[in-house]
Amino acid sequence: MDCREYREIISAHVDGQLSVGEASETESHVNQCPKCARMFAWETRSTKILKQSLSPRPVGYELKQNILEQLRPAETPWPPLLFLHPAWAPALLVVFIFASFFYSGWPFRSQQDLFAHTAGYYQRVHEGASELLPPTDTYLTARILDLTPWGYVLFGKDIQRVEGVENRVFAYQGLQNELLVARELDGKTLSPPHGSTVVKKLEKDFVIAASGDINLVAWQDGSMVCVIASKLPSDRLLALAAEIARQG
Amino acid sequence: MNWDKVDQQYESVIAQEGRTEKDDPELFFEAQHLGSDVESALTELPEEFRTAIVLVDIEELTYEEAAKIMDCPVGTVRSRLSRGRRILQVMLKDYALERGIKKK
Repeated sequence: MDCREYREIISAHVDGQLSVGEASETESHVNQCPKCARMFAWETRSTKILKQSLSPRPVGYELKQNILEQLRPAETPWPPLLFLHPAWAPALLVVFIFASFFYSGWPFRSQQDLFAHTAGYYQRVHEGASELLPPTDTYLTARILDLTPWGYVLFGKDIQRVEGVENRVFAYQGLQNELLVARELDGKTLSPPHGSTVVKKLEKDFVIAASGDINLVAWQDGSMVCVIASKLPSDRLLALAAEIARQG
Repeated sequence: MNWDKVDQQYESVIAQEGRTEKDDPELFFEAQHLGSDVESALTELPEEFRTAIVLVDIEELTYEEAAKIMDCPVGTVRSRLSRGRRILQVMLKDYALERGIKKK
């Protein structure tokens, strides 16, 4: 990937909408290219400003409605009895099997995304190129993954909706100044990605993975997937995850 | 739309980051004054870019959902969004300059 190609997909990168392959290609380019890293930091913050400026505007509602009205496809009714014809049965079965496969959990690709993106967050915070914002009091009340009881100090946060899922990221500083990034996604189901290890603790499955020297531990907490990332040794990170999960 | 000009201007917007105290787009665009500027800029944006921005940035749809509504590939949504946001940034910089909020 070169800078020109990166520029074409920078918005998708900022929105976290790249595929696994693209995300990893992009991360390696951005890590080696200070200009693109700076552009990413700029785009992340300016996109946030644009979104904030756009979202609460009542005038925009009319504009939105006009556009949505123009885009809405004309509805075509189903042919009445054709749908019930027995010849449709095999086709419907195939559709059902595919649908079950895709909606039974979280597709494999997204699991890879989860770990790669969380490691990406860690890396950017580590390099000071973070897009995280300072925490606010109102925001703290929404936090489930709270590491402050273990001596970690919260200094950055972010909230996004990815594919309709609430995605919250927090950056903490530990007692030995170590950095720790915690992430929670509401409404997702965790399944171990390829290359990860699953450890059972307190009757709960913890998925352990690594991205370079960044260790990651993920677990399911009700309808929420929790992930923590750090350069701490994986056994220490796992112990911390188990403590947090136990408290939760 | 002259893309080369937009790209050049965008480059100049990015280039100013770090040279001033404004290592922050919020200060650069004078975000507290954005208000109606964003609305005006959005209205002036060519339709295909405006649609992508409305669906993704305001309606908070995913690229896939936006692509279905726009009846185009996801890649097209990506490039329209990328272009659209870039044009908006250039327009907002121009507005700030016109108002004299920022010095040239």
